[in-house]
Amino acid sequence: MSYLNNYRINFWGGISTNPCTANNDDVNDYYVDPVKAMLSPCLISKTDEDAVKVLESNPGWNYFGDYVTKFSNAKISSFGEPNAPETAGGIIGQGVYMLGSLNPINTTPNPKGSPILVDMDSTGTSCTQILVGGLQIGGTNSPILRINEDTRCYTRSLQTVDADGDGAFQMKSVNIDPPGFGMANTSWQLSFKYSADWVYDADNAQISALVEKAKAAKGITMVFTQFEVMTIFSREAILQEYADKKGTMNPVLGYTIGSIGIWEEDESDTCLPGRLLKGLSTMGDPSMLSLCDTYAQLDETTKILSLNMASTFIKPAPRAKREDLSSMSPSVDPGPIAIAVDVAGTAEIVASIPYDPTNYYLYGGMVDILLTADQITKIKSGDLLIVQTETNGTIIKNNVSKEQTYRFISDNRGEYIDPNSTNELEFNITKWGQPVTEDLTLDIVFSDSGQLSAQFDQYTEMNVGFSTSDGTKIPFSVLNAANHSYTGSTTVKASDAAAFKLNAEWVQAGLKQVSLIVRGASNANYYMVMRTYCDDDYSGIPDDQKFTWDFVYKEVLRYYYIVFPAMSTHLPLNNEKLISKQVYGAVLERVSDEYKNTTLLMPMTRDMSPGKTKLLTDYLNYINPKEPG
Amino acid sequence: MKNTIAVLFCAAALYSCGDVSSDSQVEEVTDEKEKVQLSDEVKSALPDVAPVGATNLTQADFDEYAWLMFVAMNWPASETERGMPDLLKQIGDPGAVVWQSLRTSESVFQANGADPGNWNAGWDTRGGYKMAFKSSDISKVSAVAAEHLKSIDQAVGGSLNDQDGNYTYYQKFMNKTEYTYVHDKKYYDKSILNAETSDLILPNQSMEVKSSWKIMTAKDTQSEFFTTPAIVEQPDGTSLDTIVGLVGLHITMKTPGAPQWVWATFEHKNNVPGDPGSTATSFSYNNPDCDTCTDNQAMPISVPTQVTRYTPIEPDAVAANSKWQGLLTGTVFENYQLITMQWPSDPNDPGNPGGSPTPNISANTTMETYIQRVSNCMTCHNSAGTTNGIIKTDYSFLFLEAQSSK
Repeated sequence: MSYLNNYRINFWGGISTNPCTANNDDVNDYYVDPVKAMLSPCLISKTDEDAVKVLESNPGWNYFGDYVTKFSNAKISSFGEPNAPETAGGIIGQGVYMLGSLNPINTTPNPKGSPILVDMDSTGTSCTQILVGGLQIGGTNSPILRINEDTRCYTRSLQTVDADGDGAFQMKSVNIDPPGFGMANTSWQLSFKYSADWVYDADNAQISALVEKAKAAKGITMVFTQFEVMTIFSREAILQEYADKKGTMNPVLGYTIGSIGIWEEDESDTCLPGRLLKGLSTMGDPSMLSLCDTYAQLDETTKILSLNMASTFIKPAPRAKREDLSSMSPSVDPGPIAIAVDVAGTAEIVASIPYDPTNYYLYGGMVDILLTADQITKIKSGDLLIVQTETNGTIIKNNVSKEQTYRFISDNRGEYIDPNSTNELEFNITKWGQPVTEDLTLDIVFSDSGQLSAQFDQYTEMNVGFSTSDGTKIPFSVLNAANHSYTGSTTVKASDAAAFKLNAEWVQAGLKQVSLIVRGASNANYYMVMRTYCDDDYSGIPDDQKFTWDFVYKEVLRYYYIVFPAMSTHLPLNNEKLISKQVYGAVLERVSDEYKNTTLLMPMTRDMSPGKTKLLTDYLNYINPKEPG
Repeated sequence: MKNTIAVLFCAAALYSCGDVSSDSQVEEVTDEKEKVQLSDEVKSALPDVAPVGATNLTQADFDEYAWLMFVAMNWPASETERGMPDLLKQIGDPGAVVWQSLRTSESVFQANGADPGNWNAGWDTRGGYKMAFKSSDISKVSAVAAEHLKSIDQAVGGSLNDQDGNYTYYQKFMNKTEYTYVHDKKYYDKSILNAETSDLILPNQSMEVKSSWKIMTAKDTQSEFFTTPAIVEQPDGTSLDTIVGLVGLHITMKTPGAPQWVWATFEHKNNVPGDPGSTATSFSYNNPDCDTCTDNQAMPISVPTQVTRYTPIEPDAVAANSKWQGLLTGTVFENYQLITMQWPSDPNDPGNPGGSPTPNISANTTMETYIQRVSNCMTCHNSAGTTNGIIKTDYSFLFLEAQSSK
């Protein structure tokens, strides 16, 4: 059971993200060292003014991005139990808002900032995260649900388009001017533990129904997609803005379709529940563009199979105006489709899928199918498929999606590992949505998570080591020297598969993608991006040398001042007097542990090593000694 | 010409910042609603304005609003009542103007957290008006802060020298709405203010004004400046009885539709070269003939600062300037220009309390000289808080000046 099989409140609208991109590899692959969070050697020797000029002349598509991420005019469109959605009720039309964090050191009930989107690896495309401080339904003056809890979600089911028809999926668009991104599609899951602190309108029947069910479970979860994303300005237009010295932001706007439902005790915070059906490219028709993931879960009590098909098919025609998200054109119409099961290589149709390409978004992309006992038995016997059928519904024409037989469910997606520390990782491995019954061999593969330029060769080796839960180190060998990949393996006993643990131990500073692959299974894999912080240690430097503005600015703040101008719109980070002697209290707060899991942490980019944080903290305390007594 | 202005002014459409409810839900402005958008002081300075409805507000609308605020606040002040205009006079007539009659931050946040008295205390200009600029310390951050803000300091640090090598002087004000809030809550006393545990919420129509001034010398054409007598504390500690000319003016106000406030900034049109329509050949803060000067770099006293504008004035503001400078022809205020009006384009989104400042960059060359590239009024002031760092003070940095009675 999950939100798929329970009471759901569905919404759709816009979503906006605004990351700064001056550290992205596609524009500045040798200007910044994203691992160290420092300027690269070619910029370090320049004056601030000259370094800024270099970036201004090559700023990427959003040099002034401030990371703010928010829904834009997302509103509730339907609600109800599976197979019984309703579109009339007091909650229809209410806004849905992700919130920023509350200030952890005071009692103000309203957040000061917004959720923020932060890449794990600014040079990569595989994993980003949204840090969130809460959820609200209903407007500022009349929220009908308000939750304040710091949490986060990660890129899931990322899919991009085969733009050139050459089989190479990439983050480019066939329809949108550069920088494009038009056909990237991803899904997110945010979860909130039930708390008596939740504020809600008990007179609203739909919210009451949700909250009462949440009380009996772990809380609520919100699953949403993000697709057809494009920047407000084309690359040419934004470069002109920068040339005119306007400091214009260029956020990415896209659509979202989502559902808010019940979060059960045994479920992941951030990993979408259900059996995972992977899209199979273009169904043989190049005009159909990319197909994305579908999630399916059966409730044997109600005999309803519920499918999250919000991303199954992509819209073939993007919106005409970049900033206009007020309407939604249909997705690809696949014609008659059905759920089928593949047993030993033979596919058999189980039931037709009542997919509506025109109105699917009004229902969170959810499709419910009432099954017979015989059909239930069938879908538990093999990999699920979504297939196109002939008009009579009995003959398979094309496979659309196929189940990932073994699925890894985990909240370990983007890992930050401190120097000389170990993170414990946990995975629930399932087969056809059920417990694994056989021992598995697990291959662990390291690869680059992004595209660091050649000058950063020191980061090409494995940045973490792995050991099993009993402490046994897992040996690794080079898989492909050319692309810096490494492989090792371990065994997963069937009895351990539901809570399989691995230890990831810091080895060196770096950014790597780590994939887990069930050996012998064609498409069973899971990946994580791991940032291991630099072991910056300034303890050997005398106080009178390291506790100087010049040293601290060079080691810590200069990178952020040059590369992320949005940060300096809050506090000019190059201003010695201001930072060191006037607003140092605010800086000390923002880098403290209390802010670590909030949207208010400084820096927003979360790439400052513990050593640099300590240097900055010690410096500010050194020159601003506390008042005696 | 002044009469023409008054007539046009009366007929001007008053766009209300208070009616920006969301990016897609802009309500019609009704006369009744409109009347509550402006503080008593501003309303009084806008005689019988006939408001019109406004939907889908644009930058041009807010630029117009900025000019309305400018005119209202630069109307001749009542000689005996703070914050009120003298409606028997016309704009440009001699004497102090409305914003000068507001309470200065020094008069609100007094030594030892003393009660600053009733709103109108100390205002009587029947015997003349003279501003006072002190270089004495004003608490910027805390009792133990190594640095304090002085009347010659820009808010983000650094002083600015004009082409005569003299300091530029700054002064900050709050209006009656804000003052009443501060006084009622006794927030002029830091020991009370710093005991709060929840962010302050200032009332709508709170307004703050910040002005920048240069000492008038023989090189200046005084008739082109709004001037006022002043006692200026000089670097050596001595006082100088002189005339100062207005070179920059921030006017910011919180409205029902803009909880992030709206932020207008004006400058004298001969501060720096390169502004649209400028025909000046000499400037208060730039020497066009200096090939060796470094732009926008703080200099020691007596050395002129070479100032340039980083972000050009936007066409909407240029158009508004052309219109209003025309209306103000014959008054000293025809020599001032709107640089930017920053407003929240997404003011009421719970997920975006920052409000999406528009435009993103806004800088006055006399007040944010050295941070023009990253100067954003709203974002910077969003971080304003008390000296102990516990709470935020609703976009106002003035509370940093509070001193303690204990």
